[in-house]
Amino acid sequence: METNYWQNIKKRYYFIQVVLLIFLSVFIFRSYQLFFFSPIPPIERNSPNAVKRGIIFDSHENELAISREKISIAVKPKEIIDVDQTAFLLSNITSIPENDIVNILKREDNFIWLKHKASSQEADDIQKLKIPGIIFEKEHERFYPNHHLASSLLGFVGFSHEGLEGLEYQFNEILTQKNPDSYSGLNLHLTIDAYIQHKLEQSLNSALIKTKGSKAVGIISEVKTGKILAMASLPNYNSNDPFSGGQKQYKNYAITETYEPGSTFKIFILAALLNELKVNEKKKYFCPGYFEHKGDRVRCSGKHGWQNLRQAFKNSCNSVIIQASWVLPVYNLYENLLKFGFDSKTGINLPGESKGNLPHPKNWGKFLKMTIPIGHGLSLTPIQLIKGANVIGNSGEMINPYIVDKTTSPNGKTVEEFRPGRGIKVISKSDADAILDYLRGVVQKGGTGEAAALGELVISGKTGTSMKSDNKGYTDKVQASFLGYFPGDNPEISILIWVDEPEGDLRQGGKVAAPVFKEVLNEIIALVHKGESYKISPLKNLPYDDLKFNTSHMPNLIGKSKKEVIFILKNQFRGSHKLSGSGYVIEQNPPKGSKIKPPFEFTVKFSW
Amino acid sequence: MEQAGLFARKKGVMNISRLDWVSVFFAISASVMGIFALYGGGEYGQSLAVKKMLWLTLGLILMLFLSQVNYQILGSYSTIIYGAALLLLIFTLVPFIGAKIKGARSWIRFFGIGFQPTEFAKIAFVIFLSKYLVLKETEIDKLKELILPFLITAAPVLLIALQPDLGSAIIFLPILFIMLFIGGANVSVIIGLLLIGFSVLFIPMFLEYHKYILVSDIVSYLKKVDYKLADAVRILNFEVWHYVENPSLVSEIKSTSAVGWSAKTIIQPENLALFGQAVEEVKKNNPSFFRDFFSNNITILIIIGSTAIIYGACYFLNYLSRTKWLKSISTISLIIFLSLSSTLIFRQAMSFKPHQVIRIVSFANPDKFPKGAGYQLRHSLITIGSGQIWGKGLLQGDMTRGDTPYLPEWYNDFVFSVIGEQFGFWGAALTILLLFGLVLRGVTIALQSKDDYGALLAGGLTSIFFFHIIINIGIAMGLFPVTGIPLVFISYGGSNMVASFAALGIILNISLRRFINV
Repeated sequence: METNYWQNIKKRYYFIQVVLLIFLSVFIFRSYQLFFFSPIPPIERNSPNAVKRGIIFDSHENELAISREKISIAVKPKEIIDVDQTAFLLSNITSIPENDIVNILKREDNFIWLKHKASSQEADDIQKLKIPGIIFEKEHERFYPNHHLASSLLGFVGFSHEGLEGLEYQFNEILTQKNPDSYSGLNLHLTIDAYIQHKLEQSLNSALIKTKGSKAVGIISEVKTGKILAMASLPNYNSNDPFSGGQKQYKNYAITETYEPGSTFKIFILAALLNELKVNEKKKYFCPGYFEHKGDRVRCSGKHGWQNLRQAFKNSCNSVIIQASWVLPVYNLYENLLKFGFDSKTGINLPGESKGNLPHPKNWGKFLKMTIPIGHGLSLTPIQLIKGANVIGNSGEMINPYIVDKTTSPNGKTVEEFRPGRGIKVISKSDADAILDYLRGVVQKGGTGEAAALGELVISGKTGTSMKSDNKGYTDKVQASFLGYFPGDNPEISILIWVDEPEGDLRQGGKVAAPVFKEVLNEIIALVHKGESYKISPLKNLPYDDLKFNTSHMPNLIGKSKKEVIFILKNQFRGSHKLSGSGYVIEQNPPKGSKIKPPFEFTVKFSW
Repeated sequence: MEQAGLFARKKGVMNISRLDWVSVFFAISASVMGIFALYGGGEYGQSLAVKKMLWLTLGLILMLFLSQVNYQILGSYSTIIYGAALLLLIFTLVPFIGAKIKGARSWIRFFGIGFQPTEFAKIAFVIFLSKYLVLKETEIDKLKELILPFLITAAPVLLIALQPDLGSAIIFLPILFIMLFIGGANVSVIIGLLLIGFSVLFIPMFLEYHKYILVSDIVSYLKKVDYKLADAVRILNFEVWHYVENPSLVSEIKSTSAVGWSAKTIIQPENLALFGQAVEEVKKNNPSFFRDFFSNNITILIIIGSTAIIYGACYFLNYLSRTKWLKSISTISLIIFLSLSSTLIFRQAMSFKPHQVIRIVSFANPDKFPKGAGYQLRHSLITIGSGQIWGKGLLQGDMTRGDTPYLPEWYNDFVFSVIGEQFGFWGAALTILLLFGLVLRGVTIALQSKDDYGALLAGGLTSIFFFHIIINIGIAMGLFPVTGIPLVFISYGGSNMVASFAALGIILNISLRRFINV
């Protein structure tokens, strides 16, 4: 019996020896694997936070988001020897209440953050004390020098320094992309101009307060290039502290919010009519204050009486626009609208873009046939509207709007450019110019967009006042908008202002949004208007009779408009002149009164 | 049995020169390796190394002393030794005697000396269990004789788990199983028990794990559908399941933080529906047979039912015919039945917290779990691998020194990584060889033992070494789930060091007495 048992034990021990040898070889093999083919490639040997997030620049290399190095202090409670003493010292330096520190030190964790992103003074002081169980770690802090500015665009980063919203989210990988020779990610260069953005946000904000609207959007873009110069979405938040203030929306309404564009959409109806040669300038339509079709009525903003199409645009007359569009078969109209890309996203490089809904004509029925020409029964995002509107400003060519210009490496080399390709011809140049001509009337005296007029500048635009619907139908809430081009005859920029749910008696687009357009344009005009190079040719008529100068002395040109200066030089001071900028003269050389003789050579600088 | 004196010297044959110097060499070399590792390790490494030398000396003295104590005497006092160990473990839980260090009440302090009874309890447990197994050696293959060994194990395990020191508590279980195996327990019973335990713990963990690794894919899917929801899921990360499965809990959240916002977002009915849709889609793109198999309760219930029927039928037929293969089938179906049904019950009764699951499963995929245990593991792997072939050299371990990623518990649980970094592959391989050499030597001594008690005792004590070694190094190398266990002879840890040498002393005595007929 005894020997039998012993034999059994022996057998089992031999088995165990075999198992041991197997384990030994597994271990040796695994360490071979680890040492010779380390499972983590060397470049990964940094905690994610060790990579410095790239900078986000505006178009003038102003920093919109930067990363700063900070030191964070952590404790290993289990290694703290004297809890009270440690707490006392730390409390004195960090000004965290002593009780809180004692509670942290008594916790049963291996590792607890005591203070994230401490000041360097604090870190130095604590380091000098050499308290056991205190750890210092380098961390990067994302900082937005302008706080609220462009927050809906930039977004913010989360606790782990990872982009959670906006561009920070969309370009997270690029911003943290490791570089062989640097610990910084790539930098992002936007087409946004921080100053323009600031002015836009400022004006929108005061409009929002004045009109008690619920939200507001503003977009400023270069019509010829598709560059977005500013995109504001209010109410916004402070990117440095996005979670304060309770439950929030971080949406960039300019690309996420779909709405019924209302009267601003009429410009695309006009484009369709022009394209199909259905415009008769001379024809007069009658507006009885409504449009009626088989017993259904669409209201108009007033009884406009007899008007031609141009006047109807000036008055934003629903009745006449519907009458004019009535000649166009619905499929025809639909196809013309589709060309502006209203059925698809613009593809702007921002997260969360939605697209509106342009119903198919088979679903139009009698009601949509009436409402679509006045911008109801379909929906668009503000960015979709701007993209379509830029077609008209850009001589009929469609260019995708873009907001990220390029990425650069930390040493400044361009890595990737995001510029859109060549435009697609959507409508003819003559049609586009004709539309702009119609829209110029809107901003002139008596037009609905009168409030957008700014001095003698040529501006075209269209107001929009859309009724807001909920799931039961249209409500009495409205959305006021204004879409404008500057300069109105040969546009450089387009601006869309949109205010949601303004309150009060005067809440039409012309009353709410047009003044914002004017205010913003006034602030930014010196920046966006580069001026044009004039070909000096004799003016047909001589409007400036009083401009006669003695040609032996330099006249005082300061304060004169460009048109006046060109006129003067052309008629009295022939020679080769250098004119730069646009607007009014701010600098001249030679100075006034100095003796001059032909051939004349002046340098004149203009600005607004 | 002849009465043996406390000191075997009475017989006049014992002396130091006849000790098993091979195992002593392995142990001392490993300890010196540990001293070097500590010396070159992170903060305060030098002072830790000096202390470790002190404990090496203490350990050697205790080892020499115990090598002269007849292990049969330990056997005859085993009940008292085991009882004393339990008492000490109870003391650790008493506020004024037990000291709370590093979050666990695992220390006892008196007269200025502190130690961890857990380390000695393992030895006491082995001494007692071997005695029991030897006494029951003729009937140990019966199932009911296994009840007492489990109770003997449960007492210290529960006391240590209360401290709480789960890593040390869990190590008793493999020691128990290996000793039951050596002691002659029925192999199919052992395998059955292991399978049940394994499936009860592993299958729920496996399912949780699979839920967690889906999250990043769900986020990428949702990014295309609903940007807001994707964000919420991303912020909540693994916690998202918690809220999705218990939407009512969200109302309790008062915080206005990102988490609160995300939780409120995710429980909107339309978002929940969208989330469910995303889960289905992602599952479709990440097929896993076992995940779908085990998460389908109906299939599991069918298998439980059919194995129960097969077991009953085979048992009855075997009762009639006494056919051997019928008995095997009935045993196998019983094991499957018990495993799956207890898994099912356990899964309903237990709910894991993400950090617990991550702790257990992160070793399988540390990249998906960048925080918590996954963080430790990731950095352990990086630190080991950074040593390459020849290591960075003594005192050159910049990773453990804390300049670059901080490796927690470098002097204890992850001391192997410190060796890997400073001494490279050869240092790590040497360490493994030294420690395995010791274990193999222990097995040899067990085999050479003159009696069953010696064989079991030596095997049990060796298994203490063995499991510490494979678990600790296995964790550091990413082969096992992360739990806190010191590496015998290498880690800084006085109690463990002294206790290990004490265990070696007993093994040496078994080896010494193999020719002595007492």
